[in-house]
Amino acid sequence: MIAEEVSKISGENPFACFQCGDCTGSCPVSFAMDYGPRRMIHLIQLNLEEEVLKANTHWLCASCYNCTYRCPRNISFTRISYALRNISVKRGIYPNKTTKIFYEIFLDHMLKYGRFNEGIFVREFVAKGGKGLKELLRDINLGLKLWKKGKIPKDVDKIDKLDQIKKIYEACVKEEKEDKQ
Amino acid sequence: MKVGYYPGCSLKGMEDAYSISLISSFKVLGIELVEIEDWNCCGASVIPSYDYKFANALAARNLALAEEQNLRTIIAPCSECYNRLAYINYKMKNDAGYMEKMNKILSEAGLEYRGTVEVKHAVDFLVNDFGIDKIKEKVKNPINKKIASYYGCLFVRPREISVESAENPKTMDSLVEALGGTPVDYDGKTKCCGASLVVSNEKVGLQTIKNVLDSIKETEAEIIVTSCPLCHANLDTQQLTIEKEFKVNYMLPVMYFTQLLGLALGLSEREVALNKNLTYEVLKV
Ligand code: SF4
Ligand code: SF4
Repeated sequence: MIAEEVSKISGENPFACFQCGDCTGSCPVSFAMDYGPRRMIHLIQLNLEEEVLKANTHWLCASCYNCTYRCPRNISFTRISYALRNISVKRGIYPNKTTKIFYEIFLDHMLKYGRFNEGIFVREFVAKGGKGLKELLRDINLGLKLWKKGKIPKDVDKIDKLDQIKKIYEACVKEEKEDKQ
Repeated sequence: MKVGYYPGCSLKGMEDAYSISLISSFKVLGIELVEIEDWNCCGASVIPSYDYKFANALAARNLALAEEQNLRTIIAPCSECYNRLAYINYKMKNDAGYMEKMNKILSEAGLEYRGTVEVKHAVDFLVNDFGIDKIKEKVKNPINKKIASYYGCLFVRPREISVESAENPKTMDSLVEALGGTPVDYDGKTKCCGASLVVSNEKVGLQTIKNVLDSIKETEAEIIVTSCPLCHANLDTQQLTIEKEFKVNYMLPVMYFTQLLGLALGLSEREVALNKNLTYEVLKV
């Protein structure tokens, strides 16, 4: 059940919501969402999994915590959004190719360097087709301006104890497997 | 005075103007920043989207390192980093069960966190711990301009880690005043710039940034100051893109609060890396 899964990951209780709509009213991105946070929570309460995962809401969420700050029932839709993305990613559902490439490179950097490596990111992102041609040309233009200013994406050092990051990751993956059993 | 320092990936990368100006201006004030050795990425908003638990454990590793290195207070200048670290710190300190769960994961990497570290945003530390009066004493070149402080989201929300009221924050405005500037009031102070939406959904991302710029344009502000590399990149770097895409004209120079601070303290533009801002030239017209 989607409601249960969301609770488990986020620690939030969607059933505490009394549908006041403060969250949607406060959301800076609701204008572009299929359903605002309030309606999304309602769908979760009803366990309409397909409807929930199909929506673009959680992908457009900018994690600004406006909804969380204003909710009279102390629910964080921000964290619910994170949970919905976790669930989607595990099933290979992404809103678009750009996001998929962005996420995959980021996680890879985390495990390979322990940090996000802008320099390598830009190269990989372009090579994997994360940008359309029109945006790419515009960005190259912008890139030149940045470069003139000495504002170039740098390769950061990787951390010394990378094995710790790997062990932490493995521990999280293992816990999840045990949870499922 | 020494204080622990968590720079985060942005400040080590393209947004190094923030770290350069932070270090140079804090030095004038006699504050030495001690970087946490071997810190890792806070996870930003991507790792929590991928695996919420892993992201939280990554934040916890940084806290464990700071504790091991005897850093009682650490400052995080990036609001996203601040948010991630401060929230996990809050959770672990206030929820014994959660502390135990996190430590179980950390123990796999030979680490432990007991909850002795305090995480502060750089602005909060400067204004509320170091103190406005001490800053005022050192001002050499008062900044005689109207200034819009843009707070963004992540150091005023969520409540557990909020530095002050998210409805009408004042911290940066009081700093601006101390530096000789005139703060301008506007209703977009904590409106969201969309963070990394501009990467994952450009159309919506540009619109959210535009909403913030529009609300500042309505005021008489001559400069925007920021306190987060993401906000900064959005308002500064993307300002030119938005001007083109939406056929609008802002001409609003953006700078980090640390750049404004450094200039007021008598540092040169170079010492605060001012020319790295894309809107730098606008300042000159
Ligand atoms: S603000 Fe809270 S209680 Fe109101 S609709 Fe949103 S989640 Fe539900
Ligand atoms: S955190 Fe997400 S859902 Fe909540 S108000 Fe911000 S953008 Fe909207």
